[in-house]
Amino acid sequence: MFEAVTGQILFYATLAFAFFSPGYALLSAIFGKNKTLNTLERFILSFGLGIISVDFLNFSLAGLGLPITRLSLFISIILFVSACLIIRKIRFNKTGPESDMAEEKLFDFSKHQIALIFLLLFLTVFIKTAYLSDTVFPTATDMGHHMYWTQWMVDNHQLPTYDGMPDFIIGEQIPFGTIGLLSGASVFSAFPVVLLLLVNLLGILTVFILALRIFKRKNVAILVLLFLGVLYAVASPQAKFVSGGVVGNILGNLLMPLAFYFYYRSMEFFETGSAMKENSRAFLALAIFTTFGLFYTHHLTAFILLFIFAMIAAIFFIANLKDLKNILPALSRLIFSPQVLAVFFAGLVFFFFIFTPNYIKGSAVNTAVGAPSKETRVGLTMDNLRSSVGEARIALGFLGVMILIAGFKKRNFGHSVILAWAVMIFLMSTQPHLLFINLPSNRIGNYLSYPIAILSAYSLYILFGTDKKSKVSGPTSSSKLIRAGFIVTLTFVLVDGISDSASAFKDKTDLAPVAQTFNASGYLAQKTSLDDMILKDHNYITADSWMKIFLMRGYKYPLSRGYFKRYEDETKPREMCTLQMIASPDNAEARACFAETGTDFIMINPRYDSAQFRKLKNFDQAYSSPGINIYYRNN
Amino acid sequence: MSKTNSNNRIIYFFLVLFLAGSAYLFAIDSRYNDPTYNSDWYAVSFVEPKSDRLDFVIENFSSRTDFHWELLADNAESVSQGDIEINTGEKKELRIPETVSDKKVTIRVSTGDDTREIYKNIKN
Repeated sequence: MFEAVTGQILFYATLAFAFFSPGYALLSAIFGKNKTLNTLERFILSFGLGIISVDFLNFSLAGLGLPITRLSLFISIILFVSACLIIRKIRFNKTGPESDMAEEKLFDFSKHQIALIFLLLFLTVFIKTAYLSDTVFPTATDMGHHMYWTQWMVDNHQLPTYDGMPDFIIGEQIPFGTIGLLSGASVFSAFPVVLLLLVNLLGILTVFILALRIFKRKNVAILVLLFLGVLYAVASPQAKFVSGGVVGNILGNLLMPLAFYFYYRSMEFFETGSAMKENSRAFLALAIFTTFGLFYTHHLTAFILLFIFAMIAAIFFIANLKDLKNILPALSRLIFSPQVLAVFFAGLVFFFFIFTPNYIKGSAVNTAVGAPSKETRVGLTMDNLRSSVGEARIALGFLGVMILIAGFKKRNFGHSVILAWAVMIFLMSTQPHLLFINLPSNRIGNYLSYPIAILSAYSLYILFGTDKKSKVSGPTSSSKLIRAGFIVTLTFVLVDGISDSASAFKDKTDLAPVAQTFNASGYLAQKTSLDDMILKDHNYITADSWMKIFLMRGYKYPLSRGYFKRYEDETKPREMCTLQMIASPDNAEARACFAETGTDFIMINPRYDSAQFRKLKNFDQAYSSPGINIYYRNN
Repeated sequence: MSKTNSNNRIIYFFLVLFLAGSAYLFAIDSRYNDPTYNSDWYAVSFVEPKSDRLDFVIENFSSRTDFHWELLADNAESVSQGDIEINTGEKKELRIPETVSDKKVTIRVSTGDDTREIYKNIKN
């Protein structure tokens, strides 16, 4: 009990030390204590920036040839935070008082608004935690794969090489590896899920402050918490992705809004018509820093960001076509500034010379571009989108697009961001052939819920809001008819959004199959060596991807019989040995496979695959539990 | 309500929610390796799967503690047998001194109605 409590305290201390403090120190070094950033914003932004800072600290250690250990990580974070604080001291002592800007009213929430924010935050955390309480156990396949590399990083004190595989990206493992090294937390504990939950929650809060800044209406931001936090709180890409270990997507949905936030803040001076401020350059530098962080974390999100960015630029320039002669020089002064160029070139140096992500070396880019090669890549239908994003949210989201276009403020860069974010992901997921995108459409469609949630909040506010400050034309009276309309709409939204979460709750999890898999894995780790080759079944064994963490003999060890449909996929032919050696262990092809691979241990679920081994004299049954049999090939 | 105060309250409230939710997740996560939550199974395995030795281990994750074991020859004839008490969450190794000349030797373990078997095809 005492050990568990101290372990948790160490975990929380590591979160604060490794992620919040570097991000907070970085913001302090750049902005001092001035009111460009509100306290709440600093807190929310610190975490994402901290994750990226720690990524770069790990790259620096690796680049210097230093082992990545608890001590080296601890010292490097201390040095980084200290350097930031010294810079703050020097910069803001020279430039006078740190707090010389007018207090903004934007974050001045009323008592009712605070109460609503508390309620929405409570419901968000409550629904997600309730769902995760039945899924927190180490069973998810993707999480197992990620935790293998996390354990590899902890054991080997260096960044994972991924055996050259392009599917893993370093930024997905560093946060987990950093926690594993600093706190000693086991990858089999709840810490991976808890970390992803925190990333997910802070991603939602990032969208909250982004919407607040862009629309400058507190109620829109509060409604974002409803549409993105409370409603559809379990559906992909929310709590289901947290429990499933869809690490890249969860981190991507934090870093992409974070990048948009900084890009928006850097262009804010267009909207106010004021002269560009020093802070604009600092924000653009942070935006580029975040973009590099995203490229180091998840290639799909980064790929989508590039497309969105192209559309943002197109919308913004077309909307401001008549004013380009003023905008382009201002943009040029913004971009070609020491801060921005320094971060950009430093990022390039890291990216190409210090630590290059595997997907750049591999063929990931080539496989993502081109005509859709599979049925799953030809685009989602509207029915697919409705089930993916939620019926109420997509209806209000589409309405939000129209309202945004109708009240489009061409000088507000944020309007271009929100519009491009929604429209581009919609096009990428429904009409991929138009953009020559060859990626699973549903994976792209999962990103749509974020901009659609913002647009839903905006449309609901414009339709029924009573904010006197609203300058957008629209029915804002509080007549009975409008109140009735609001109640009907809100009821529809709440019922749809909450019932979606309710239907996702599982029956009570039977933990025995997980325990049996781990027990059998421990047996194999003890009784076999690198001279042995193990084959296990992925179809009928629970949590089988976690086996490799018991063995730690390579990512592709043990061999695995994959899903049956994969052996029939004509677009991606694969070896048949793993199928044959379990399905028909005595036929000629299987015998050749045994000889070729050296497989001598086979782990299967006896309910499905024991009969074919039982009748063979060259197989002993070495282990038996209700869900696992292990056979040893004795010649 | 002052701005700083209201924003700090949001931060503190969020932190409290996160700490409470995550502490709960940590607490229930430890169940998967707690025998009282997985109390319906046991495992039987050979101590040396690669040799002809027949020593075996019973690991008990069930609520029953009384086990019966049998060494069966190729013709299903019982060569030796015994009873053993194993507490929940514990494991015990049983040494089999017999040298069996049969080709297939089976270890059968049972508790209540639940029976498990492991076997070896002896080469010499």
